[in-house]
Amino acid sequence: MSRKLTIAVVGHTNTGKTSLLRTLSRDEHFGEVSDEAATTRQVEGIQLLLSDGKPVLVLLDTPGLEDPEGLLDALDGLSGPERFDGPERVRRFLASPDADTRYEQEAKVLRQMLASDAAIYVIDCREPVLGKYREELTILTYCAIPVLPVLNFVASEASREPEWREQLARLNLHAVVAFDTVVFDEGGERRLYEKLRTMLDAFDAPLARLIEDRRRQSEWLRRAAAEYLAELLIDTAGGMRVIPGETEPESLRKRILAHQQEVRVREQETVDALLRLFRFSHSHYQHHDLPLVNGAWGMDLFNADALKHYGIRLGGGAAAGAAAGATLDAATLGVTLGLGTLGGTALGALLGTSIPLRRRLWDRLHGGSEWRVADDTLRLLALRQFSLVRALLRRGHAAQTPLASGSDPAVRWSRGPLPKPVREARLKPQWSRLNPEVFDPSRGDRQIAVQRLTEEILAEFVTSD
Amino acid sequence: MTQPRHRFRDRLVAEAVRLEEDRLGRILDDPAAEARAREAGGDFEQRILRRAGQLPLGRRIEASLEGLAQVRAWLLFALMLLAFLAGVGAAGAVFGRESTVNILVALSALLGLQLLMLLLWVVVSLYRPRKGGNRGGMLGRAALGSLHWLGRRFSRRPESALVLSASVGLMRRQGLGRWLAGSLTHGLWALFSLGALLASLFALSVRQYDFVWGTTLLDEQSFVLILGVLSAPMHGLGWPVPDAGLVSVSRIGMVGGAGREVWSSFLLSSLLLYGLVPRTLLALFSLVLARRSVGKLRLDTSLPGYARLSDRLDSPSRSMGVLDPRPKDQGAPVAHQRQKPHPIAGEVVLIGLELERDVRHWPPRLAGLEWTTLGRADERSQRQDVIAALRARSEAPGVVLVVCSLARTPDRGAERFLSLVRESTDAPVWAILDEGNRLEARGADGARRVRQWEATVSRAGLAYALEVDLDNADHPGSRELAGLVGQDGARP
Repeated sequence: MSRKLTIAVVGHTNTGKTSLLRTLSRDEHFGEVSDEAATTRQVEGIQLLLSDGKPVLVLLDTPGLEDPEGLLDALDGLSGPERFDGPERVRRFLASPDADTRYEQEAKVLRQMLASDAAIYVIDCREPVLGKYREELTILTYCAIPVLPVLNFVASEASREPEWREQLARLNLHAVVAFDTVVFDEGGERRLYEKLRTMLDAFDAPLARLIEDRRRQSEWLRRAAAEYLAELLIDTAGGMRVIPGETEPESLRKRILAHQQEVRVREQETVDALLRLFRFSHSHYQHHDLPLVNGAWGMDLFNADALKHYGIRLGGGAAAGAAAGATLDAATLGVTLGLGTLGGTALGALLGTSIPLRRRLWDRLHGGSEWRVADDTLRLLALRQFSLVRALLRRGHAAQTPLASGSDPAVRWSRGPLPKPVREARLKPQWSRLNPEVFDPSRGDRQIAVQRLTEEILAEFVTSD
Repeated sequence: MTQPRHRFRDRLVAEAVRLEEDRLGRILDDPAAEARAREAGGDFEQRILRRAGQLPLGRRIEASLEGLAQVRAWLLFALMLLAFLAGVGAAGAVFGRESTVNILVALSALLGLQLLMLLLWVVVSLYRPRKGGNRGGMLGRAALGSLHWLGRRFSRRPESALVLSASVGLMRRQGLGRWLAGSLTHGLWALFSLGALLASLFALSVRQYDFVWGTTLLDEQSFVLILGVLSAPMHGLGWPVPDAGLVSVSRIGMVGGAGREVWSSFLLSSLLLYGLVPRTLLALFSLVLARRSVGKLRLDTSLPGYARLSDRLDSPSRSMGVLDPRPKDQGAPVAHQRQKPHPIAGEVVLIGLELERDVRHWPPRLAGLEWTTLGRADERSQRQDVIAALRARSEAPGVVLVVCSLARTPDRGAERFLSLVRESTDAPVWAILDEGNRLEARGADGARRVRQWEATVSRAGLAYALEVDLDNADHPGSRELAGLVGQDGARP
């Protein structure tokens, strides 16, 4: 079969046709979207590709129908010497002068309908089932191709999904899919393709391939995202600064701040990478220093409020450190002292590292200290990235509002011991990109740790869905 | 045949590029290479390979591969020669100056060590056949390791180090390293056996030896048993093997020179059957498996280093552009003078257009206002009825108010209806924009929607548009409306 399955996406004006295409194509730059009538006035096509780069489906974005009542009058008003069926009626209408003047916009839609294998009728289901929508559906049946109604904005509070389903059934449209273009739902997308599959026997094979391909893609995406987070956590856990004992307090403070800044930069890198991975442009966010300034991501990583927001109780290390006078002031919160306060860790760090051992021993003996990010900060980092990934997984490519943070922290990460690979990374400065002088990415033990952590994070994504 | 080998090389380059990017912590930006990779098509992995090959770094790596391949070929040749010479040397030690050869010593010198190593290899292979990352025989592993090490020494280019790390990484995948090291191990031992066999053949051809054996601890019976087990395969093949009689006469101190031909044939066939043949077969077997691993080898595209490239190289969709251009704009909208009208006395007629409010709340009641409703115009037939009722009036009302819902997006259908109402009466027609609260409940921009409606109302030629909350008499719009059309007593 050389011809690609072609589907016209039609609907009343401003129901989210272009948004649907953006979400299905994962292309947030496709077409133009705004909350008003007739944003799209031309017909624009997009091919959905399989991961081998082969096109499998053509979606046509069409202008909205605006005046179905007048159009229906024009169609029904056509008369000729003989009786004619729906498609013939539409063809005659398209040949009439009205199709070039008053109903030029609608004529474009009908022309694409006649040339397509099926149509997706997009419904803003916050709208009541008005007469004009029923008239549109009547017009679409004239084109004699399968029509699949898609209920957009089902996630909205104002959704009238049951009302629409009932009315559509009355119009003999029983195959209906709920698919919110802003709040992405993998299952919804699959159901959409499955419904098309049942309607279009001749295209069963390509649609099956598309479904399978998208499923694999989403698995791959999750794994890749989990791996990004694992890398970030391993890097941050192992990142450390060795500061000689006789350092002036002011200089110590500066060095700690510099270390904090490195961690922030590393986090921002991960955020950028995740956005790119999920194909969201970061042009909206780029001008901010911090990851995604809207909502909790705007909070600084080393801010006590941010910890509280994610349900992390300040405990153990930080409190003890503060009590022992180990922290300099509020600015050092989030960074912890290696030796003394956390004896075991520090000893391990001393043994298991390839930072010139002699120098480190020397520093230790002369009252030097090793500074690294505190457990609580690591937790915060993890939880923040979890909710970012979760938000990205649920974000349609038509979404226009800034990302807002989820407030469902993964409890296992906010309390209790950190996962084993992270604890292990604590003792391995050579695993961390934050220690460029000893970092070695090709180490087998690091790769194994990253893989184990990836699995744990993946499990976290699954349970949170 | 060269196809899979070539592919392996591409993958090696891609891995090396990834390692470098991993180390740098950023992607080497090269839009031209990315564009070429996208154009070339194929799946994500193929695009990655293509891009890596097109990068300047990739080209340098390929160049260093050439050099490394040469170094490796020479090193391999040297190793093979060494193995062969070791075999020759071992045979030389056995068939030295003396003209008597101790059979037990000869067997253990030529076969003992390698049989032990073979046993070890079998045990290790059976023990963890799947998990073995770099296993494949100690000799092969050591050889591979030294090849890497020497490669690093011989080639000072930084790319060579990358290539070597990348190949170490690839060796871990699909058991490739295990089978490669295995084929090297077995190949080298096969060469050792070959050297020993040829040297023994030469020695036995040109000189005469007496074969003897002796033991202090074992009794003769066990020696015969060992020999019987060892010679069973030769016996099966019909080759001459020493029998019990020959064994007893060959013991040290007995008559010398008994059964020279049988003994030498036994020794040579042992070398063949326990050394050369199994090692050669195993080497070939490992080579076949290594080739298969190479064939099955794919880049792990879920690695962050590759995943980072996905939005540059891979796309789940491709825009086809505009297929049917937008209609020509039908001139600028006619600008109607819309200014705040004077208060109107007389009958107020109400029409509802596509409202969400319940029919029970229709017509709306607003304190101080009285109106006659012509009904709701939600359906085609209702619209026709409303227009007909308006036209049927003998005298024009004071004003016609069309109540529109801000929750609707103003479309050309609404515009056409508003024009139709205007044409159907001599009275002024105003649009009342209601249900703004419903729009706001959806989180939409209310002010923007009001502007859109005002534009539509203006295109329809209506005299005035006013935003009102018909359920709230205190809304500023409601107050304004009361001021404009309210009965005298109610005017504020």
